[in-house]
Amino acid sequence: MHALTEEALKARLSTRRVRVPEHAVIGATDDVEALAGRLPGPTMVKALVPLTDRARRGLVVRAADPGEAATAARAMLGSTVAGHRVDRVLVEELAPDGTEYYLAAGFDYAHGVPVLLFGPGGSGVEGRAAPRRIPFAMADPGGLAALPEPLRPVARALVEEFLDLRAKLVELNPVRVGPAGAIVLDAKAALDPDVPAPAGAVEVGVPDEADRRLRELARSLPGGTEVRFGRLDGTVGLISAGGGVLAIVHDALRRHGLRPANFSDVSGGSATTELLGAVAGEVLALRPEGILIVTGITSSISVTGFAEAMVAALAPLRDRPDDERPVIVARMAGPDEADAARIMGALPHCVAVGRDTAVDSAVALLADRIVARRGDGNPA
Amino acid sequence: MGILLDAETRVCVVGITGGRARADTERNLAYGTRIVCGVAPGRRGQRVAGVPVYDSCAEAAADHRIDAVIAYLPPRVYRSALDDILAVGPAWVHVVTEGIPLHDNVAGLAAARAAGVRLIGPNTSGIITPGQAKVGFLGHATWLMSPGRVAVLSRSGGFTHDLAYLVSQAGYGVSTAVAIGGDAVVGQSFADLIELCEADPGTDAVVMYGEAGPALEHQVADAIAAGRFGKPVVALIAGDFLDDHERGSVFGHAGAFLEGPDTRAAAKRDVLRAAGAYVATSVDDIPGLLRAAGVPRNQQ
Repeated sequence: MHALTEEALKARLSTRRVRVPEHAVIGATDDVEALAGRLPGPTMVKALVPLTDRARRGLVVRAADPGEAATAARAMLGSTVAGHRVDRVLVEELAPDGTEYYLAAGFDYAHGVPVLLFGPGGSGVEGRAAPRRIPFAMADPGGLAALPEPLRPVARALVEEFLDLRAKLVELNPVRVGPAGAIVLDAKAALDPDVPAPAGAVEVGVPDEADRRLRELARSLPGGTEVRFGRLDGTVGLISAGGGVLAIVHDALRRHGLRPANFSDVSGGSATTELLGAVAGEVLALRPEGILIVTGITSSISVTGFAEAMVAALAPLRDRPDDERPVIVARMAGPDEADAARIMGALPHCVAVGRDTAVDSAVALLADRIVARRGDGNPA
Repeated sequence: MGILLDAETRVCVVGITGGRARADTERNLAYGTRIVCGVAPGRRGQRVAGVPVYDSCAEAAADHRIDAVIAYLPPRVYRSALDDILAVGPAWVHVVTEGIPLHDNVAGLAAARAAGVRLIGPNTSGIITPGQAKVGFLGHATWLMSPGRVAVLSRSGGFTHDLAYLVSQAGYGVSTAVAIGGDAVVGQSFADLIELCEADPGTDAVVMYGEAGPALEHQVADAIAAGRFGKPVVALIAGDFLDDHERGSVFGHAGAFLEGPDTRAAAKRDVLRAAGAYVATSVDDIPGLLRAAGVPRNQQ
């Protein structure tokens, strides 16, 4: 998923005659003092990373003069916060005092209509009453008359940007209105992963090496199968065919006091089995204490083929000492599930169940076996 | 009986010559679905499993009455193809396609509303009225569900199978199962469909599966509270695990403003419970809740 960082969106808004503060963008190899010195008065120094709550994370700092701005910029540049490395900072002049507003354009998901959000702005907006929603038609955005007059041109530009970017959401917060009119102090755009990203977009989220490897493998295989994988902080490895059962599985783990070591979703296309084997290899590398292998009831894959792929991918377990082998529960549901269970029997500490064991009951079984293993080393 | 689809529904398959659509068409014809025509631009005159193929819905509609459309559309042609579909006025169009840009999705919904056509999906797997007809790839494993009087409505296409199997094994059977779509914005909501279930004499109850996210379940609660739905609803809402994770790293709170009043799974369960729905904690609770609601088992 991609997003536009503050300065990229502000640059776009500027071309629509929206006022933004005078500013300088400083990179790690730039002359920090020289660039900060272009803005002689007090400034705000902001790390350009796609994170919320930058102020709370120390990534937005007020500087009294260029010297302080340079010091703040140097402190941020090269640091890593929540997995994001700060490669650039934005230094911008302080705006005159005024009334702050929140403006955003997005979709009311429950009703499937575009809306303009409008309310008091500034930090802590989430703690206030929900902003007012003004539905508008994509073909003919209206409703701007409901806004204070100085905000209308900003809102018009906001909606134009939202439509041009085909974004999920464009947010301006705050827009400060003073005697000289409206000025946008912060701006973000969340982009639709199904729309090509525009110039200047940055990837949101911390890249996961296993995810990258699996996606590359998926791209190299015919069949159009998609895969997602991410490392989590728990001890239960998850190998899942189809995304439909994921929420049920994660909730059931939570109810049993377990946490997943990863999430994974392999879906669609005809290379499912091969990719599930690759996912199993990544899960194995996490050295989980338990592994849940799960399919929903489906006829789109052969569960015997799935079982064979699991046995092949998890074969290295046989070389581990017994107390380092995870307990495994495989819930494989399909007309050939009895054959799949027989195949899975080749894996140590593996219990296979079929469609008559609901997904969350399979999780309960795994939890019982993990608890038993922790107790006396015997997962039976 | 059932909703949306029965043995008499005359179905057009748009995008019929694609691999997925072709395979589904063959299996759904074999199941008994009345697929009368298909559409694939530039393929007029071909046949898929004996079904005649036309260049456009307008052309197909000149030769066939079309009650409903199942659409397998590449995202890049979604809007123009949908306009062609809507112009022939089917009762509903079911959009299988995944990866439709949100703006195109919302614009398509607006066009469907304006045309008075129910749009189901996108990003969904199908509809099945067991023993009568099915579209998409829902219920290809025909052994897993039996005809009956409980409607299954699900956010997840894949998990619809598990629910339908459970309901069937518990002795109730399924009147119709509908996967409503997994995208943030979908056409027919749970509330739209339960009102069809209310009017259906072949449906005694609804089992629904929702997830944390856009507040579609609140509309169901409103419909129950307002008396627009009087049959038992058994609801399973997943997604508690999301409470353990930081929401989207860019738009946590603004996203929440847009999704609805309170989009956590627990909040949805509370709203449904307060309205009188039977709320399941786990999948295994569902048969017991159907019993508790007094839903009669199949007599078949």
